[in-house]
Amino acid sequence: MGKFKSIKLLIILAIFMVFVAACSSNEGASGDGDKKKDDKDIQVVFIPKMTGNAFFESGNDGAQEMAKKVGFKVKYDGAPEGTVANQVQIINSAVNSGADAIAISSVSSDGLNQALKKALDAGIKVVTWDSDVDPKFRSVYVNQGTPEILGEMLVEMAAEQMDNPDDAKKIAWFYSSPTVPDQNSWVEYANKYIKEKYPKWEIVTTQFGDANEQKSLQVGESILDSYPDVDAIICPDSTALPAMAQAAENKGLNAEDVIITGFASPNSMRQFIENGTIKNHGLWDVKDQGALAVYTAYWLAKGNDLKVGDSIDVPDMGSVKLEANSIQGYDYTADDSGIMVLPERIVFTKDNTNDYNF
Amino acid sequence: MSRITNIIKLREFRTFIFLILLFVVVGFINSDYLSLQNIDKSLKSSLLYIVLAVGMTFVLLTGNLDISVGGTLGLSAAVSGTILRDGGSVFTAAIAAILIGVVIGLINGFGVIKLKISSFIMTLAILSITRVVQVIYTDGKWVENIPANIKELSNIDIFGINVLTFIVIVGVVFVQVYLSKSRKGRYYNAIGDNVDGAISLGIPVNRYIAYSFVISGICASLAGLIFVSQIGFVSTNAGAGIELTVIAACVLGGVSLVGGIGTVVGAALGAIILTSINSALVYMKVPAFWNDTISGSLLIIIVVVDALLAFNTNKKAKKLRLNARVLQKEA
Repeated sequence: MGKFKSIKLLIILAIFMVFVAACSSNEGASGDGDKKKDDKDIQVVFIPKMTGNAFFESGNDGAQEMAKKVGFKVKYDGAPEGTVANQVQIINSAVNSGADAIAISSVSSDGLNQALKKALDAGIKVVTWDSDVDPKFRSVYVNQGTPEILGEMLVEMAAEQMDNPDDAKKIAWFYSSPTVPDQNSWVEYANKYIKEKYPKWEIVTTQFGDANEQKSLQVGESILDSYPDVDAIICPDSTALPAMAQAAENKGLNAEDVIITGFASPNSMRQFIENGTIKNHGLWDVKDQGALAVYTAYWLAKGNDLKVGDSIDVPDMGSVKLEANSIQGYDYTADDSGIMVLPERIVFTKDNTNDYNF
Repeated sequence: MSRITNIIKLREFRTFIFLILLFVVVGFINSDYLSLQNIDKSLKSSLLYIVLAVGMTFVLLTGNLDISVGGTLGLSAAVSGTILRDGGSVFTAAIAAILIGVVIGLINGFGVIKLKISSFIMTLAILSITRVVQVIYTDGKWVENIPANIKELSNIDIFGINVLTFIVIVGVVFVQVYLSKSRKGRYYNAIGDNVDGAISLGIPVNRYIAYSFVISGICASLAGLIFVSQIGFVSTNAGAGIELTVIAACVLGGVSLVGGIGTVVGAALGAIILTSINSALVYMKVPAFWNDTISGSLLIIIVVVDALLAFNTNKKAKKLRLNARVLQKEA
């Protein structure tokens, strides 16, 4: 009797599931059906790695301003925790709700492939910003800088603080995790750059803080203790850099004792620049990046064709060119898939840090 | 003499030996790791986890779980962080944080006792809710620019020992004495060991389960205060995933997941081991790519070895007991 009951339940459940699945796929189709919308009704879903982080919030500010100016809709959709599962869910719900384009900062270089393929199949334009996915699964990557540009920037921010950068120096890398695509690619190129330009430098260690504050602080302190003669610690991660600076401050070290630099938002580092723990750090104007990402997504969703080598006119930013994927080191070279490089980046020092608020 | 063998048999003692082993082995590879300074630092890094583990132990002892600690930590860190950032006193910030802990503990307790929701589901739900409340409260922003004098609070040393560390250690000892020596303290073990038994003994079971959640809430909010002063910025996902680490620390320290068995000293030792592994891996200068794998494997090794040791001692104890019975009959 009990067995029968559970089998019955299972069958009902299965029917229900099929029903739900059918419903949702219908919905997707109907979203596709009424094509040729008004430009004003075009909806771009803007997806950060995680919500709540000043960096991504600021990107959203730029995205919203651009949407207001040009006249289209941007929906900001993310989860406080940046995981593949969360992002897949958000992409799926964008597909189901009939969005026209998504602009996403990916937490994984290939974890989103299936979800993005579904979106592309449903006719949704996919743009990535800040952190890329496999180029097969998106049209444009709005890049803060190629690994060449950013890797060199990281190395030079450290080198310019040294009296004799050509001497033998000990360098440590400290960022979020060995799987995060953007940070990894910068560090990889930076290491190549160091070999060519500063061959006497030695990379003593590469550590990861998992974007977890407590762990980052602890690992930061351990780096200072295990490598007391390290000359520079470079942290291209928004959690690792403030935690590293805090670790140095706890030990009473300042910029004269050990060079700490990297990428983080000026708000999180201002205190450390003002009290002399660090001298400089860098980032790009993420508002511009968010704005460019949603504008490109909107432009594609309008039905425009964009080929490698073409340029588009972006309000307030001028003409931005679509470069080939190869500038990021990709092999994939379809002519409707490429990279837009953000026109400029910023090095924050005591002199300019108060000009920015993000 | 028998007192010494009793100590050796203690579960906590084995955890302690593991901790010593960890330090000695890593110390062989990099002698800096054995320095007093590093031991002080390791303790300091694990304070947050120790405090959380103490609260969690209370809940685990009664046979429940508290998944919401990370949310409580994040929310109270965000609230006290904003108060401090906007120039409020440490006192106000601490009161606000503790209030949050108490309220969340009461809600958890209410759900588990009155609504009869399993503690796992109840606290999991509260975890999600507190996370969202935190995002709403902070307007989705990190709490940054916490005054330097607050950050210095966690760095005051007396005779080379961190004051905060000292306070926490003393606190753990006090709680341990309360749990094992006082009548009411033993209620927690009794409830988790055998609820029906506890009821028939006249223990107000529900009230003590509620207490355990409130204690866990307060501990989590105290951990939030430590978070603010040690780290100096609070992200919107501060403390994400911390509940798993804390539960693992408790289990590592011999606290049973089904209730009734365990001590806060053990849980605290477990917390120190778990956090020390992170810095140990940096000191051992292994490529950091492997860190998660290594720390996971170490966990398994420690728990398995400990289970084997426990199995052996239990067998011996059983034999002793059986022999004793036989002797009694003869007499």
